[in-house]
Amino acid sequence: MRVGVKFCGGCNPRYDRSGELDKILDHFAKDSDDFAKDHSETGKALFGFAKDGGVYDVMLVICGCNNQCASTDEYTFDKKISVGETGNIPSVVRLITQYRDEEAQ
Amino acid sequence: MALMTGAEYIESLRKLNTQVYMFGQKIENWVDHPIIRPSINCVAITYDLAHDAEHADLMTATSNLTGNKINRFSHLHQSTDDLRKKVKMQRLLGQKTASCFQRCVGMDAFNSVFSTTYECDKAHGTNYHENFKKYLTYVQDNDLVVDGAMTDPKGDRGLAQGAQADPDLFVHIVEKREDGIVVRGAKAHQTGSINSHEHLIMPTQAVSEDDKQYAVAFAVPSDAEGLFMVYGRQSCDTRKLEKDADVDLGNKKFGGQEALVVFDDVFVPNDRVFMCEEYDFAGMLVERFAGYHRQSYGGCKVGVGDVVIGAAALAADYNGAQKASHIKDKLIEMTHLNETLYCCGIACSAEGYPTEAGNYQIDLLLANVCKQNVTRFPYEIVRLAEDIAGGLMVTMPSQADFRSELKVPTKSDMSLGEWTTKFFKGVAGVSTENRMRILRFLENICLGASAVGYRTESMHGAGSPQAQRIMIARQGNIAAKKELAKVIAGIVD
Ligand SMILES: Cc1cc2nc3c(=O)[nH]c(=O)nc-3n(C[C@H](O)[C@H](O)[C@H](O)COP(=O)(O)OP(=O)(O)OC[C@H]3O[C@@H](n4cnc5c(N)ncnc54)[C@H](O)[C@@H]3O)c2cc1C
Repeated sequence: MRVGVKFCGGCNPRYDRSGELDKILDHFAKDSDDFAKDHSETGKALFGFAKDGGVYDVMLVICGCNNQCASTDEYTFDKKISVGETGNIPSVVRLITQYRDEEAQ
Repeated sequence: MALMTGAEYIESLRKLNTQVYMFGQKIENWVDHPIIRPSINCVAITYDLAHDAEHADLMTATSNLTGNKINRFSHLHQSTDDLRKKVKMQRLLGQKTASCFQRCVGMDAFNSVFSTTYECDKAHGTNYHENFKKYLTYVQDNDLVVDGAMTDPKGDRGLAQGAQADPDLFVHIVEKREDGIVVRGAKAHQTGSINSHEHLIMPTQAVSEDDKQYAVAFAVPSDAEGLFMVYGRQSCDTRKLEKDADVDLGNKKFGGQEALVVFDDVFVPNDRVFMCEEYDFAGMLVERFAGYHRQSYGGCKVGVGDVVIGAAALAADYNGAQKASHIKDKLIEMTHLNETLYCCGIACSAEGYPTEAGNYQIDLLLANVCKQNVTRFPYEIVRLAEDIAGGLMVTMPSQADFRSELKVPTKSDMSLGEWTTKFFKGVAGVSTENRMRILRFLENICLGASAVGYRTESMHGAGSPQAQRIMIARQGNIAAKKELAKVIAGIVD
């Protein structure tokens, strides 16, 4: 499963956005510890920064506040998980795990 | 062409033959000049952040002219969302530089010239809008910096353009040729003009029919024949020339820049002319540019304010005063004032509307309220910052004293550096140098070189306070408010 990561622009983030991404990546370190993985592998959540025109199974959008203004118009994806203010990590991990496991079945 | 990096931008400046004067001399290598370079670094970061995944969403946009990814600074706003993202981008850049990053004037000029030329063409059958679209496509494709130049020297403020003793005190057309026009005059206080690849010129105020030669808008490369610039000096600027200048600068890497730009009979080809004597559209162009630019200040100065608040909080930490209730309260007040400015920037964007040409314009009343607050709140923010910082901000010895190994011939046999370091120590665990660094930063922003950008530019940039009050009076609709009061009070005329 290919996960495209997108940050909002970060004008006034209420938490450390890249720190939160690191925490999410830590949970999936067993799938791959290479952040720049740019392909899909069934049963594994492979993360990388979303590229314009990219196609993703899941878009993970990490925004600095609950306005969540980051645009995702330039990507194609099946599912989108958008993170606003911090505190969502367990649910993000749960969702990505669920999507990955569903895909593997 | 792909988006440039900061390093590529700096190299691109070297290819220009821009004529720069400072301190009575011609400056040949202005790109590496220690007084000018911090302002170039400031523009360079607008390029670098466009490549940074953590900020690209604000720093880039998709061009409605070409469909290509471009730097947001050359974008025509396509929605209220774009207007809001502009303010957010400006806040971000204020935070990263604590200075004026200079590219906003160009962006505000693009959007106002785009919509005004459309309406002017409709009224006069001219071809300025197509000219401008072609020009902007060139700017976007080459990722250029453009100085949006509006303010003329203006001479006697009580006289109109044509009544001045010297006709050149406002930029005007001196010759109309088959292939273009020749212009003369100057633009004062031009932000980032030396660091710009191009200049986009607009009239400074409404123009009457008698003075129609002053109704002129056009674009020229910064190294056009007949064009030169004189660098505006800033408070404490020669500190940048001192050997090993570092702590005493307060902000070593970044700074702002303003210059006088002189046009001594500069030729402008027809396809770069966007207004030529259509005096009835000069006022519209000025009003639209001023509106966008008053919105801009609700972003950029807020970002700088974020850094000032952070610096004041650090100064308190380093002094050991951080737990005092009045210090906490002052930091709350500073945050409140700063976020109020941001509210205004966001509000006038959210209430934006499409122009006839299709790009989005801000709400004029709210943008003027925004800028009016900007003429006041940064002054209160720096007042509180100076309060928290303490007097040391303006009385401490220089970096050279702190680093001096010169022995002072007294009983203790200590060096000057050891004495000064000893007596300016604050709390345990924080070096004297770090304490000095934060105080020098505050000195720089409150009354040094950066005060140009944070204080006086907040006052006069995008128009002096009275200019906003005139617009607020025009848009405030007091008559309707009187009617509201009459109804509630039961007054029947
Ligand atoms: C740091 C900085 C950066 C700037 N950057 C740019 C830029 O990039 N591009 C650009 O085009 N401009 C720029 N400006 C110019 C800015 O828009 C002007 O400073 C502003 O419009 C005021 O004009 P002025 O400085 O000539 O002041 P003045 O016109 O001299 O005004 C001084 C005072 O006189 C009053 N006054 C002036 N004329 C009249 C009148 N007719 N009737 C009554 N009162 C009057 C004003 O309200 C004010 O209180 C910048 C200014 C600063 C300070």
